[in-house]
Amino acid sequence: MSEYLLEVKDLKVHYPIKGGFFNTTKDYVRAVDGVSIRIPKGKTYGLVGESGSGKTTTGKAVIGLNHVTDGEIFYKGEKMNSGKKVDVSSEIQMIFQDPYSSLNPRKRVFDIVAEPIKNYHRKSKDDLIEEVLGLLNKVGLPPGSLYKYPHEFSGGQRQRIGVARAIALNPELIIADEPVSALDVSVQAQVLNFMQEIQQEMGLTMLFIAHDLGVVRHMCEWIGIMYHGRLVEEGPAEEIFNNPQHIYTKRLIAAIPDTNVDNIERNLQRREEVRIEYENHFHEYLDENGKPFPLVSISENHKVALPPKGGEQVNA
Amino acid sequence: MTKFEDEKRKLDKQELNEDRERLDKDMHEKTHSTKNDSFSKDRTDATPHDIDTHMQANPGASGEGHGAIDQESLPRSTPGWRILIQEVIHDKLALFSFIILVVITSYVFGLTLFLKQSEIVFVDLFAINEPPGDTFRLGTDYGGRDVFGQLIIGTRNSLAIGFLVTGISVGFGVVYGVVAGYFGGHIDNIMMRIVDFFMVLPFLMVIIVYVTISPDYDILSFSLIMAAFLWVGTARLIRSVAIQEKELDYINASRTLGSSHIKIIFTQLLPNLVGIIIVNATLNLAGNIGIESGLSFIGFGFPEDTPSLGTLMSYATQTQTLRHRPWIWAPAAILILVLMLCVRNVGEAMRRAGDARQRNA
Repeated sequence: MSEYLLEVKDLKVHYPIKGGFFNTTKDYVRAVDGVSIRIPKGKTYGLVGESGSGKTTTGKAVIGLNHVTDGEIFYKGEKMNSGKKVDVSSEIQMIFQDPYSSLNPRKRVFDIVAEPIKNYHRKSKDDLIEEVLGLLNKVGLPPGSLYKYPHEFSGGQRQRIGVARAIALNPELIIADEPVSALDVSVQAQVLNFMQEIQQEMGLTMLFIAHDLGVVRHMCEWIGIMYHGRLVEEGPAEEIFNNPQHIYTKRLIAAIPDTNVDNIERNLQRREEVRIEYENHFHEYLDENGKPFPLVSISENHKVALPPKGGEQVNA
Repeated sequence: MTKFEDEKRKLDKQELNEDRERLDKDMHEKTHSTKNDSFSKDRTDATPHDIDTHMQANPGASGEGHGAIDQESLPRSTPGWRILIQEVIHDKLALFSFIILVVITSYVFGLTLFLKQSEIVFVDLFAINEPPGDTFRLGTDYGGRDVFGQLIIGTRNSLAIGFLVTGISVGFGVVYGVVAGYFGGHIDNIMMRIVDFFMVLPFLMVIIVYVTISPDYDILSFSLIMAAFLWVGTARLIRSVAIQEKELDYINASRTLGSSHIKIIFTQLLPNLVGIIIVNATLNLAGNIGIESGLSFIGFGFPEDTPSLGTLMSYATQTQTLRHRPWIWAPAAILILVLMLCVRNVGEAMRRAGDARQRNA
């Protein structure tokens, strides 16, 4: 148990659908419906899925921004949630998707980065300035940006400010919620590389939420693929990429663009095969509610949400 | 923004020696280069000009960070009040309005120290309806009372009521609205039903009844009874903006960084509502002076022995006064107009100062 920094067990986040004359609860949106994740210390876990699959909700639930309907969250073996509420911890921090809305436009960089330090430590102004300058240096921003406002920076620089704020408290777990999806491609690689550097330097564990499989392959050791609030496949990154078992994963991986021109024909053919298989058999992989089945272990680390009958469907 | 920084650099220039100036310029260029040259790992297209010269010029800055950076070479932070002043000074109309407002206010409040209200409102039947002249600068009304003195004291009373009512109602309304909007859910529901209750009360009727049955009321109690009904508009407005604003990620970010709800409301959310608060307060200030004048005009504000701009205006209800003695009511009308316009112009400049993206200075 202790080898995992973060353990999420059967997490469920449901939102009520209100309606009718008395505004009663008619049904629930099951945004996250039974997700279990284990992240070993120092590793990066990539959570992938289409939009609306509940990956961001999962991340936000872990850090306490969403209520938890059911399930348990353990951090370092300690339970973080009691009832609906999840405790906020200085050791878990988040990097937000949108570098534009996640920085308060009225605050200067100094105020933004110093905010977490002020919350947890009592420090003099000079010490704070020194510490913030150190953090800015770490994320590659010049000291001159200390008293600038967020709107004076580009998207990539803003995301760096977001990272500086997230690492200000020396956290152990960082939840990165699509940290580069709002940036253009030339800046994406820059930010990703620098996040990797910081991760290695500080020994961070990361829950990396993304929808870009290329980015995830670049960043993550472990991958979980979500569909409609549940995991469909989970395992080490290489295993998932080389030996995908679930049809949904297969199709996702087939969709990754290849820059090698010689492979065009082969890729097209492969995609077509996967597409036909997907269209003919995808419904077999879902239960009567349109949700994936529970995960089944097929090897030591590799888990797939296969239909209850076992491997027959896969071969069909 | 660039203008703003140039201004700042001008201010700092005297203190900075040459070395620091160069450093500042380097930083300036670095952060403004669109290509982010200084950040990219492989700076293939970097010209010698782009290369980070301040690293060589000032080895301290390239150190480990903690304690190694020469703090004096950093650009100074501009305090909020200075930004506000800069903005008002930059906008000539606002500056002009502000000066007029200050002159009128200080003149009125200063002069009332030497004027006795009882003397001004003393009825002198031998000097009724006199046109402006040597004895009475703005003439007299039908009671032989000096219009100029009444104007000064009336302006003071009206301004005092305007500021008091606005201060109380906007202050309370903002806190109420922002709390309701931020927390949402049941708290919001309950708080807004209370607001609805106040909104359905016919507030002019209540004030008129209060004025009629209350034996004596002064500026403070009159302001309080007005503010008791006027905060609801502000509360509703601020709540709706707070609901929009709290959905933004920086509020979430503050939660994950360990800030308490109260701290988020007052240090994160509220600064982003400053613009709308100032606009609202300005409009309310103008409106509240108007409401007071209106109540006095129809005879339910202050009695004649407590002059206000409204009581002076109400003399115009007599046809004779309206047609033949404009010196009684016209100065009050002009003063109301000038005050409203000045307040509005200054408020507009302050709203811009509150939003870094709209600043002109």
